[in-house]
Amino acid sequence: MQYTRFTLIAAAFTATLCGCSKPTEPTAAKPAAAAPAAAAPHLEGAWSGVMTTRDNDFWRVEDWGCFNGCTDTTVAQLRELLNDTANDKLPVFALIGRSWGMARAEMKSRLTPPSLEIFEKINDETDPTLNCEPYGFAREIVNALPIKISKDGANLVFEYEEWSQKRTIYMDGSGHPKEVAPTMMGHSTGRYDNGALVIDTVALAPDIFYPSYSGGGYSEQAHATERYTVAENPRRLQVEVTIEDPKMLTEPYTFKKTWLHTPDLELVHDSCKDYPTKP
Amino acid sequence: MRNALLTIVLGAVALPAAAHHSAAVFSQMDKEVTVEGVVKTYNLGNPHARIYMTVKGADGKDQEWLAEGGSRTVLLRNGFKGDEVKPGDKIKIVGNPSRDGTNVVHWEKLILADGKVLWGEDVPEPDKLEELRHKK
Repeated sequence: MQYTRFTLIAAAFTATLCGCSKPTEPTAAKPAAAAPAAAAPHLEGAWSGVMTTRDNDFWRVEDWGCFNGCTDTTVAQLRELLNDTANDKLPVFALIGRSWGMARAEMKSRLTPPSLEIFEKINDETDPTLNCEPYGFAREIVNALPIKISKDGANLVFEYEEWSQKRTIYMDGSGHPKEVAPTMMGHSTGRYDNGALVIDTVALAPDIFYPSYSGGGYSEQAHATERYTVAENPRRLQVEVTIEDPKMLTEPYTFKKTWLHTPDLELVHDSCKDYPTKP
Repeated sequence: MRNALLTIVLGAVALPAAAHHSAAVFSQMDKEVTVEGVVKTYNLGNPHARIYMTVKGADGKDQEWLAEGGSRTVLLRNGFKGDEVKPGDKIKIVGNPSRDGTNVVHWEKLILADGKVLWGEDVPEPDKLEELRHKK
């Protein structure tokens, strides 16, 4: 059977889960804290992962193995597998699969008992996404499909093709509201730091990490920090995500992903409801 | 193709077609099989495109199979429209067998009745990925 978010909660949480309400607007109306222009990376536009820019010479096997984000350890382990001459007769796909198994073992080592319970129950065959349940924050922000970043006044808007989800990054310096209901994408504030966009997210509804190569889950206590930078040749967007959650993780979980700039790309509406997955 | 092309021996297993969506983990990517059957349902859906099909086993009995391909929007960009096949169509799926013996095939190529071949994945063809093996 596949698991719904309801069963996830029943397994590990008592917190209320709601993926439908919008984040509460920041309550403290402070003047906008304008970042120095030179420190703000130009992030606007569409960015694509490896699957929709497959012929670009920039990509390596590690990018295919990590199309939904990887830890540094997983990247190194995959490269080690590829370099090992004993594996020369094994297809690259098989080595990617092996590295995912190693990644799950690494993830398992940092999970607390309630998260381990989810780790054991949720796998590729029981993944709630198979029941048309959209990804939660930790999966959505590094999903395999294109994203689009735009400005909405002083704020930034991140749109994700996969599951057609959207989030606002509040850039006015007012911080998180004191009271905010948990949502799938949480409440995010941003600031510029030495050429990077740093996003701080709280109020996340409990959900799961990628069961394919990480696994386990996070709670309403999760706190995420994303650091986005832009590099050139080719122009690309890189993120380093760190999730801390004292309830579900024994140590912070940090993973990375890269997108290429695809200015002409338009996001495609993505909905399970339009294309039911079961006969 | 460096992978050996096998013709699957149907009837050896008759397990239910469960859903998977991580081919690299759940499929034997070093093996390739051809599954021939009749389309029951086709969904160009999330998280991956799926063809449910009826396959005649070696014992003459019908088996239910699932062929799972790439992400919906990636396939849309590659020209898929969602009407590539319809119930009743006779097709062949070339892909990788599941590791656990269930009737699931990781769909690489869809061969239509008229011989037209459609690459149904959102990852590179195996030969192209092999070219990247030692590229750092």
